[in-house]
Amino acid sequence: MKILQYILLRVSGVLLTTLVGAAVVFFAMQAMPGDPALSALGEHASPEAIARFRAEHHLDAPLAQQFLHWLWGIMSADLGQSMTLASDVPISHLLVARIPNTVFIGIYAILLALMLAMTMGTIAAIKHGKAPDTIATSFAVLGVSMPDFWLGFVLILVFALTLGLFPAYGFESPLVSFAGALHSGFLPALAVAAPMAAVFARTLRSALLENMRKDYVTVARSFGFSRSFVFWNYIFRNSIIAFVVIVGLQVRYLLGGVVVIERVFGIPGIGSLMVDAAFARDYAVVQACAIVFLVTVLVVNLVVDIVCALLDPKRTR
Amino acid sequence: MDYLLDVRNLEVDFAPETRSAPVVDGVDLRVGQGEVVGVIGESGSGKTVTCMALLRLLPQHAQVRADCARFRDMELIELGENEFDALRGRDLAMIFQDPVGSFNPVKTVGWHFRHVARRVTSKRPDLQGRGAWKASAVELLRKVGIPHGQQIIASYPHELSGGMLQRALIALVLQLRPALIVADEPTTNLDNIVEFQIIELFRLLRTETDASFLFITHDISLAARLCDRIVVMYAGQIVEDGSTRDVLDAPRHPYTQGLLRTATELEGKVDRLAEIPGELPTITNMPSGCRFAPRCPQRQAVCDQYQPMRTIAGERAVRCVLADSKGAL
Repeated sequence: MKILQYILLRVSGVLLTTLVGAAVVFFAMQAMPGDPALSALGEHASPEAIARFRAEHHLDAPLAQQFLHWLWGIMSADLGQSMTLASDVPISHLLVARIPNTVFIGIYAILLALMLAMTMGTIAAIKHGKAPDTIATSFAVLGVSMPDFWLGFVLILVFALTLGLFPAYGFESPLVSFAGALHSGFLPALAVAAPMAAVFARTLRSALLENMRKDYVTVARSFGFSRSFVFWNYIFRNSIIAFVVIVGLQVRYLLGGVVVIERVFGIPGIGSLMVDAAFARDYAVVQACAIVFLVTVLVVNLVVDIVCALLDPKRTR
Repeated sequence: MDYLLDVRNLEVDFAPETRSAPVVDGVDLRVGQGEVVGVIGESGSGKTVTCMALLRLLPQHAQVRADCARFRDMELIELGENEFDALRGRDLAMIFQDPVGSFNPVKTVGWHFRHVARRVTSKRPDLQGRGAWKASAVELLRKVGIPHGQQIIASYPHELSGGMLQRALIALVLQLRPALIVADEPTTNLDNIVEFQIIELFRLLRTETDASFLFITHDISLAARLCDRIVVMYAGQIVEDGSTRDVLDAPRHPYTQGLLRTATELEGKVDRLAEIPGELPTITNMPSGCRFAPRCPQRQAVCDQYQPMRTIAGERAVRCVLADSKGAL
């Protein structure tokens, strides 16, 4: 029962944070230089046209009223219209078309990172101080120090242009062909995953090493439990809690990485939409993208917290 | 006599390259079938390390060697990892000193009982069948003084007190019914009444199942109540070995004498403790001769040389030059 109570408490916290976050996003966008009417209609637009544009997009109302109007829109799934990027197309349409791509790349990258990190971290911990540990740790340092866009270019150069194994540019939507998305999304996902995998692997390695030294491991061995049983049920099981916390924290960087990598690989996702919108001064679209990112981070953190609570009895009992 | 466990000249060294003295040096231990052997000595004397070495539970960098370490008809030193795994728990088990750190924090106490039971189901018909472990666990918990075992089984370690966990840990090891139980200060976290209960339980176990014990303690009165034989350890060496009565009534080593004086004065509630002056040497400044010499009231010139164990009679042995000259003690 306590776990349900915990979840409810956390969900209401997320709702409140979203509200505050939305306000921050809205007012920060207002502080940005540039007039959306001018960028939509061009510098030589007549004052009448500008006034009409402003009235249409509720830009002439007081700021607080604009905010409430926008907030109400979000809650009824109406994010308003794009102003300059795609004239008068509802923003929700733009988002719906692009969210699957970004979600796909994001999950793909996380899974790749987890797979890489679990393998490297575990091997490094088991072979502590030996060659495999040194190799895995060096890879981790390399992974942390490489910017993802640079890694993206290197991957394109090696795997796409030289070896021709993967496409260098463009992305097949998972809604069209899942296999195609797996293939065309591999390089961008890997570019985002590598730095994350490095952080994850190091976290897992040190957590495993710490737990290997715990008294309960010796005690478990004294019961005659096999090495593999002790590893999975004691060492790994106790290390995974700290690991999940770090995974949750890293999701913020994952989103940043996705924004950049979508540009590098020409993937029509939320990240590239946000960048395009920013260049076009279509602040309604930027705002909407920011809200999507905000909600994603909050929801992922919520899920991570719940998973942690389920993994660690000390948090709920 | 045939021993269940017969260890000769056990040596444990954690850092041989630093030329510091071995942590455990030349330890001989013999435990007969159904015998309770007490290992007494102050903390830091190498009691726990000796026991961990016997169960091959020391960290990998520890170097353990012995002239022989026989358990039943097996040479422990020659056993492979898998053979030793099979032995641990089923035949050789240990009750650890720190109960809180002994449990897996993310699993219930019942989880531990269930998996420990699985170790021995093949030789124990009473543990076969779904949920049989539970009945056995509740019964064992009752025996160690926990009447509401069902509730304890459903609890996580952090929900229980140290004393509760200590008893649960004892019950857990008893569920394995090993031939030799190494108990490392198993009652330090318990109050006197529960301690008495546990000691009585150990005695009962010995008569019922012919279990042997290696009982580590710094509590001499406890050792006197339970043990058949006592070995006294000081600075990684055994300094005295003999039947409980011999060692406690007629101690031959000055260290044992000092230890006993301290204990009797505590019992007699004397205000000032006649504690042994000086302190336990560390492994980096270990005396090359008798390790107790710097604190010994009867020190002689010869004490600066290495002192071997001297057999006085049968199983009675002392590591002291004074034992050579009869009547000097």
